[in-house]
Amino acid sequence: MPNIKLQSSDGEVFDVDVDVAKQSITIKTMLEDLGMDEDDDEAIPLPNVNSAILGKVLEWCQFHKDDPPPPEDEENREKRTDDLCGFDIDFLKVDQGTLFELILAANYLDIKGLLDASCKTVANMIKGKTPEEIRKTFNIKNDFTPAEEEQVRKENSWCEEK
Amino acid sequence: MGVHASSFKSHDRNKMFMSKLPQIVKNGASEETYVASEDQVKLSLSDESVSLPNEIIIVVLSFLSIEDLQNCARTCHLFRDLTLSSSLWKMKCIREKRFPYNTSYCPSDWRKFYLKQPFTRNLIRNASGQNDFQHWEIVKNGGDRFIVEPDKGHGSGEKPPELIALAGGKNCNFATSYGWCSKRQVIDLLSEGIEERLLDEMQPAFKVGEWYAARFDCGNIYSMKVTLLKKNSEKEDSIIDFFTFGPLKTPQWAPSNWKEVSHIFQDYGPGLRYIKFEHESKDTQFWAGHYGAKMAGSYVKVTFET
Amino acid sequence: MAEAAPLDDGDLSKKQAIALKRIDQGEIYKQEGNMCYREKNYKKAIGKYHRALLQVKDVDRQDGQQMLKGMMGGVSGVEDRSCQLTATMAERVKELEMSCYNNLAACLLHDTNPNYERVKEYCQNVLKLDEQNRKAWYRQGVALYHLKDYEEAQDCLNRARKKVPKDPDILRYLNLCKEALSKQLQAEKHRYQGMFQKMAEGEEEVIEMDDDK
Repeated sequence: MPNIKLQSSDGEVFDVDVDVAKQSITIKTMLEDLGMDEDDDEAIPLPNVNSAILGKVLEWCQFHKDDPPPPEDEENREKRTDDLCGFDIDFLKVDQGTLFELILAANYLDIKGLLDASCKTVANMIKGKTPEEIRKTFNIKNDFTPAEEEQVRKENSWCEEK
Repeated sequence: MGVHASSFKSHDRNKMFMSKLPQIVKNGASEETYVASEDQVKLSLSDESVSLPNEIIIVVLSFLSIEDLQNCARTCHLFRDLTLSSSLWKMKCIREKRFPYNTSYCPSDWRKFYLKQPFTRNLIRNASGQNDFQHWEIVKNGGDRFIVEPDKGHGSGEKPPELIALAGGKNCNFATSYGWCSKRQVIDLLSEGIEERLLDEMQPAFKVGEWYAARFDCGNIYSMKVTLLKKNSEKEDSIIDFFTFGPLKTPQWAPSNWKEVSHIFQDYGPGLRYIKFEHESKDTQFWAGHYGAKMAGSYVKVTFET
Repeated sequence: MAEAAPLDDGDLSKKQAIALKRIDQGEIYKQEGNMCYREKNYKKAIGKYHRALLQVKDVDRQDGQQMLKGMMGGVSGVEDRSCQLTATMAERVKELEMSCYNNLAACLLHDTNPNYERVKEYCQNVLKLDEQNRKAWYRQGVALYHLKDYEEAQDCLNRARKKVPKDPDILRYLNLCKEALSKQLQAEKHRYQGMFQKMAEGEEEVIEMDDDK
């Protein structure tokens, strides 16, 4: 089973199954261009991801490595935010700093499944909350003047045709 | 610098992480630290932690309902602006299948298109009389006039589930009498949210039709017609295409099950702006009451199966 | 209100210093890639160029939030100044990305069985950054030729010609496209002739021709 070496920003080298690593489209593209050669065994530095996060990401990839590849188009992505698989739900029960770092890493490495799952998790933190509760959860400063706030509140262009 | 073995033992991995991460939180509740954020807005929990770039916030937002998005819009200027971004609504349209993903055509206002969702709903309103005669223009009201049977089609077969669904779950239908009962509805495609460019260039196919039934004990004559129009006018030169069914004469004692008539319009050329749906019936025995054909589930819908 | 971003590399925040290191490392990988390319070691060069790109990918975005560029007519007061790139740095990133994508396309074309779709993709990445880039137009033209999209290929090749109208490589490919197109035309003619032949012999049913419409 061919391996590939990935190096985190803080210098740690992860020796990874190619099948696991290929869930990152960024890595997969590179491997395709190389023709899957051993590439002199030189590690691939990923300066955007530290070792803790890279390890988590690879753990996710390992679990999901036998998943069917996500469809090329966005059409088949799920809408509902409550249908994450059991593994993902537990996997993403982390502090929010880590959650955000996972999102950035998934974005950097182009791992759609992880990006979607972690974004859905953040979306779930917003669901059902009032504006003030959302502000508190994400430390958002209210930069509306009272007049502006009233105007936004009254905006009625959000009606959906059924 | 360690080299980790390739067989990933997640148990070991987790042990490693436990020591590095702060306490695990459930359901988003956590000990929050309120930070005086000066003039900055950050989607973050503390001033040390990571914040997300806008295009990723948009991915997060794309999973939210309209109600939640509205609440987000009220939190701050950034969020309000992001909830209006076209990439957000494009994502929602495509993911929720309100617009096909495999076409190069696109609406100029994704948000408006999402809210109007003209490609996913029945453009005929009040398809089965669930709202009395709203949205229908009655042209002829002969005999004992048109009625709505609100709970079932008396003297006719059971309605199939897909027909009941067209009336939002209500088992209702229109019924006709011994004089001609005729009505119509004209759909203004622009005001339903399909813009000119899509109509003229994309020319989405329309599946049109409805369900009709006879009473078991009486014959009827029934017909329906759907016309594609450039203008909402009766003039010949406004007509792009049309489909007629009938007049169909059903004899007395014929089967009284609900039947569907349907047709697909496609490649109709540019200029389509209105769709006129009309139908009529009367019974053949001249009986008082409502022994003519029943109609329900009239529909005009964009379709991509052709 | 926060201060304006520094214009040069003189006065950097911690995060900007990290970004600078990544850009430096990216350029080192690129140079190594160029050496490999000169030695005709294309696979190794590809590895170097990809590593270079990984250095600068999202370098302006580590722990940062982008300004809302041009949306709703103004800035919403959002900036994480600490990792915004200086103008010099941003320019270096752009140059690096352009070189790497161009060179990757060149490497792929040396393969025995090139992935022309990928070549096209990399050329488009360059053109997004610089729509006048001659090499990218040329290589995209070459890729399109091999993908049998002869007319599009000619478009690309002609755009590459703008600055160097007599470049022999471009002219060679334009000729190849021209020949391929005329062969296509011949093949079509043959098909129709075949049809007429069969009609004369009474074999096939009459096929409607469109030219009278």
